[in-house]
Amino acid sequence: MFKRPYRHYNRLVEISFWIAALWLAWLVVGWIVPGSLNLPQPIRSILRIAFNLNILLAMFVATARFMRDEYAERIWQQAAQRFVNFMMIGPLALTILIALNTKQITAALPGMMPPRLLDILASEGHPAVVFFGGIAATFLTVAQFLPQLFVIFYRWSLWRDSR
Amino acid sequence: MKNQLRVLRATRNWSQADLAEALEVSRQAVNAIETGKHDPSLPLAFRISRLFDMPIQDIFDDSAE
Repeated sequence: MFKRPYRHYNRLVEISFWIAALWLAWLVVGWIVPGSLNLPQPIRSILRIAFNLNILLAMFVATARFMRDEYAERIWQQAAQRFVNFMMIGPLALTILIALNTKQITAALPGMMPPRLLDILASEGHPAVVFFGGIAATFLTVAQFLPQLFVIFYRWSLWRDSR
Repeated sequence: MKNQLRVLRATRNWSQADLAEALEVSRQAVNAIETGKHDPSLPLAFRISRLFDMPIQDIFDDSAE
């Protein structure tokens, strides 16, 4: 694999992309229809392991410069440009969108609850713990989403280029 | 940029994978160059030129640009 790594780069991206797509589908379906994904525990465990490992895989393919040949590098640059554009505009746009539609969104997504631990700590009056817990939860969410989001942008750029 | 890569490859009866192996790039890179979606870097263009033993300007044609 490490003799000619460029051979395997797109394969790794493909694997990471489909696991990320499955993960996003899992999240969205779980939010929209709570309890709809009552799979047997072994399957749930396997999926969770796959989703967690994919965070590492996505981080790897996003940063593994040594695995990219010049064409993959060009696609990576296109993906990076789209990713940066999204990161500049996306969070603010999403925040505005959510702020304007909070009632409708919470009604439509009954499974999307705030973290229970933070609720308990807040109710017992631990603002510092809630504050730093909130920051830690945010970073954890960002660490889960960003690498996989980049892989999705890369796959999208590859698809656009092939058309 | 137009190029003769597909024709040259066909005359030698090579697959894209064979050419990719010889040039040390991915098969997707060869496909992108052949279809004109990716212009190779100068080092890669020189490798292609040496592989087919032809001058670069006989393989790549930028007159349409």
